[in-house]
Amino acid sequence: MTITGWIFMSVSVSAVLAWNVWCFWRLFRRKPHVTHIPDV
Amino acid sequence: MASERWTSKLGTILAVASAAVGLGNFLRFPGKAAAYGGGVFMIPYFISLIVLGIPIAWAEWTIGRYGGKHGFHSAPGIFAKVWKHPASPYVGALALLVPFGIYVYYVYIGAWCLAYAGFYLFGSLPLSDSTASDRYGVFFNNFVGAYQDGALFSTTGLAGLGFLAICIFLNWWLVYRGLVEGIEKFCKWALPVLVILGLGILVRVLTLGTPDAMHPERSVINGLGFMWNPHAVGGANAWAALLDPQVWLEAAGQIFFTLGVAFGIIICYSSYVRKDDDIVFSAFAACATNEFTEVCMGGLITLPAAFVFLGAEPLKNVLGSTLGLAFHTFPQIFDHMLFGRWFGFMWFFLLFLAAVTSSIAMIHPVVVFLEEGLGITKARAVAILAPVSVFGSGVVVYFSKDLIALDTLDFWVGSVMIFVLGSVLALTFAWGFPLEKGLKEANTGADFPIPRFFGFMLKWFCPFYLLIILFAWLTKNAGQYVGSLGQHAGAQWAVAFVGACAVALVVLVRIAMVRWRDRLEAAEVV
Repeated sequence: MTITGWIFMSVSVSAVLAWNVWCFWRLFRRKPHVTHIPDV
Repeated sequence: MASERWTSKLGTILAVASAAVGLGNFLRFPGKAAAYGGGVFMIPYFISLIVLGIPIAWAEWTIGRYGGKHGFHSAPGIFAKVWKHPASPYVGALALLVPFGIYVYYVYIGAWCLAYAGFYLFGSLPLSDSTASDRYGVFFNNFVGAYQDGALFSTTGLAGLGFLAICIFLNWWLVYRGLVEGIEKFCKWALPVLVILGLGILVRVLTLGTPDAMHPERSVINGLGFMWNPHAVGGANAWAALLDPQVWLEAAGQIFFTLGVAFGIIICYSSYVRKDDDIVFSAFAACATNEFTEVCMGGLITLPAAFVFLGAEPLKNVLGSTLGLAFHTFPQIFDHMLFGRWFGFMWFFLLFLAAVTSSIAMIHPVVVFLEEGLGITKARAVAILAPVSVFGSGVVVYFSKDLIALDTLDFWVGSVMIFVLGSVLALTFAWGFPLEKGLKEANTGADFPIPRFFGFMLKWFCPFYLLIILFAWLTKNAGQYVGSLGQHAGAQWAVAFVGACAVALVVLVRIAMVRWRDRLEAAEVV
């Protein structure tokens, strides 16, 4: 396998992995808890 | 029916992603990449993803949610609401014809995957005693009846018909169970199982080393190189592939097929999200999940595995053949592999799951159309449509010589009509909605808005680029398929089936439009 082959493979796979990690981290992250303050 | 909603954002993303993940992720993508420049192919591939795939996915999600807000879950009603033109619901019917036309042959391919998984689970492929290297191809051709029309309707074809019957029943049963209890529940476990199976096979492939001491050049590293090393296309140097229009067309075509855009599926699925759900993110995440299975699994498993056991030369002949890679090449690999039987089962069960999660998504939009267009129950819609689909699949199964009916449907519906529908979707979003309203609608509830650049692409680039690709495809292939219509009864029957479905859909849309008149004239939902 050539160096350019390694580069194409690692960049493509890493980019897609990072994209997925970002999406699923965003999907499962805990949303900040908002306490409802009633109008008085 | 109208009150059905996805139960969670995860469920929506997994359902859409699993509809998109199909055999193409594991078989078509590696073949295209290796045939069109290796690693260099990834440059036009990722550019097409950004300028074509993701924008059209956003457009389709937006059109679907907009229709859902107004109580429409089928494409004719959604198009009528989005694009105020008398022709729009009939154009929308194309988003029903495409998935239904693809389903009738895709379910058959799913049945082959299930059959092969079953063979490996209970032993091995029942091959002939011959040691000829083409015995895998001979077995496959006999199993699908590729030597003679009607071969499966004899005693030797009963096994194939049995697996097809199981697949058909499973598909319709899941759709009958409904959006949440059937499709969402199934996809929520099917896609994770598919990923786990894929990762298991990936680990096995990457740890194969150099299994044949007689062929030290057949190593995993060289197998990865076969897939990823930049190489020349047609004699020029590797980087010259970037100047070859065919490479760009193939990359755009692959992106288009793999994301499942313009199959009429996303437009239906996205009509079930809540009106303020973040569809910009959901579409983005569904594309990401699909790309994971394609690049990180399909790109690392398929060709390296085939290379280490078979070498480069036999592979070069099957790169363009999805079915050849799956059913001729891989069984040879599993016969050479330690624990090959179990990896064979895992591989074909993975393909089966990928096929079923896609095929249920293809029939759901049509069932929903009958429900809301004619005001009938889901049970009745299924009772009407299932026999029609069985007849269509029967045409594909009967005219099995050289898989002529399957090939005809795949060309006219699974390729040509998809590009037409993709162009229609982009045009509808950018010009029918029109663009400003479409972007505002898409960005409702979104944490990050769609950058304006993509609006420009959707209006001025995507539809026309798709039409260029369609023109190039037709120039290259249409002659052969038009010629086939005059020569093969199977091709004629396949086209006649699609034509009859199209006529029936036009009539049904006319009936539905009368029922929907008041709803379509109702005020906008904000």
